[in-house]
Amino acid sequence: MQVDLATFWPKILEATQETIVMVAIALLFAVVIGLPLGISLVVTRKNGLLENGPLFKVLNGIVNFFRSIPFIILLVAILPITRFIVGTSIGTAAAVVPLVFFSAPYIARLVESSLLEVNPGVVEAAESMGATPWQIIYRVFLPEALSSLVLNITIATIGLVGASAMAGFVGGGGLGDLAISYGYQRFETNVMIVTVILLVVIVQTVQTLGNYISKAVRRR
Amino acid sequence: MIELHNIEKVYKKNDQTIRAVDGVNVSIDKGAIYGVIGFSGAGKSTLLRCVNLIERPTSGEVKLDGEDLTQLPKSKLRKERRRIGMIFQHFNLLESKTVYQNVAFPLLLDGKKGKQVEGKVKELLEFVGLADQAEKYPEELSGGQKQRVGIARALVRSPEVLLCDEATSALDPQTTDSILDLLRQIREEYHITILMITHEMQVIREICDRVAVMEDGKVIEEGTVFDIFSSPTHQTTKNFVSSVMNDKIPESILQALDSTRHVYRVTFLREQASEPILYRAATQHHVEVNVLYGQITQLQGEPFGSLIVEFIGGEKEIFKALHSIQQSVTVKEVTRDAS
Repeated sequence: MQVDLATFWPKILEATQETIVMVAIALLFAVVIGLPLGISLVVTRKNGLLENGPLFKVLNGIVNFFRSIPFIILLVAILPITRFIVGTSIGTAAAVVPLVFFSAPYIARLVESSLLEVNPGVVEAAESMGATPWQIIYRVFLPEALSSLVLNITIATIGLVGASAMAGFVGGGGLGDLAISYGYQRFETNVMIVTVILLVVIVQTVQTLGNYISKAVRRR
Repeated sequence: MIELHNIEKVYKKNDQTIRAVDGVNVSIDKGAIYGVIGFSGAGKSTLLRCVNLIERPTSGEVKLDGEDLTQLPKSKLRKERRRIGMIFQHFNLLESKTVYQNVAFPLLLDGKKGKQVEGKVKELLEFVGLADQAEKYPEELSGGQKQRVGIARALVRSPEVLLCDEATSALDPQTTDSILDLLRQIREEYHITILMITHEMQVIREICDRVAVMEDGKVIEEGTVFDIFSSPTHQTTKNFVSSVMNDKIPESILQALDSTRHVYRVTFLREQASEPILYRAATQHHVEVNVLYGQITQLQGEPFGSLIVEFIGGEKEIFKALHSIQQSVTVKEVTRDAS
């Protein structure tokens, strides 16, 4: 039996909202963690601004560790941590925690690759002017890499939309959850189609917006 | 002004020890333009970076007005770097900033703002001839213009020293000349000491007072530009000199030589070049003088000439003529297998 989409709309809208909120909050925290982590990976590496071999190895190891775990496993594996941080292991808030753990190391890698694209000659020029490492980070690395950073964070955002589909496992809700529980498990084909269309629209919008901002900050 | 004592820079690479700079001593007077020339890999770039300690020398002293920079703590070293401007082969401008913002950048690092910055930046953009390009981005500029921005940026804090890292190597010959003119102007107007490294000998000839030739991390020859160009001793130096002095004898002349001809290279220095030495010897000893090849040029405002001359006449007369010429200039016989 197919559900009547007309009466099902509120549920779809609610799920859309859940997806957006989950992704937005997870993204915010993932950037707050991933950006400094990515910067640290660049400055502590060999011949970096603040070269620190042991620290680099530790950070690099942590990032690789979290990047190797499939999200669905991560989701379950860190349940105790989730419960500790948000006080519950079910619901939208509980889904955000693993999403952050999933996305922050990914963003760190993307930030790292963006910053490594910055011309080392410009960094050297700043050093020759007597810039402090901190000045080099926020006056040279970040502005010079801004356009590329925006594009990379767009990629991470879309990755988060994908991962958020699995949030249903902890009762996190969202469009992916809807597609699985109604569209897949109950064979509600029309729900499946609508949710997929909505996900496509969200991804397209995010990418278009990312391209636009990246171009705008690029200065010509 | 700048004194480098026993500078050594040693790298370890896969168990191999590489001596990029191997015991270099250089002393540069205030207001001088000092050139370091060498092939790529000679260590000149590393040496230049040892002056502002972007590369920390493994051992040795870097003295700026008598103060050893290698002994300073980091924060103090950063302050001292304000006295040393630097320009680069590939300009190294911030791509995300306008010309104006690039030039203002060092002042921004110092926490300066407002009118003070604006006045200084405008003055320098005026000086380098880019006042009307202030709002452009580096990617809209030509190579020569980018280097002018680099120069303005290096001068904005009124440094005492300017380090030039192959500053003209990425530019075409005409642009190179205009940048060299600008550097000359900088010395005159701002009384800055300039240390430049290059692999282009004409750059040294155009602008430098003294030159050091580097090979395998060592300075193999050092002196005034006039001395080095007029009488290079080391083979590498000779090669560099002949690359711009055009003093190699053309093959066609060497081919035509045989033991019956008397061909000599006559080298004139300074005031000798303005004396009619050859003419006098020829008339006095009744020989004919035929200039086959050569040139007379100016080095640091002094004449310098190198001529390939054939003497025609009796053996005895030629011998006498040569003898009298040798009193005042350098004469060397030219044979077919050598220059």
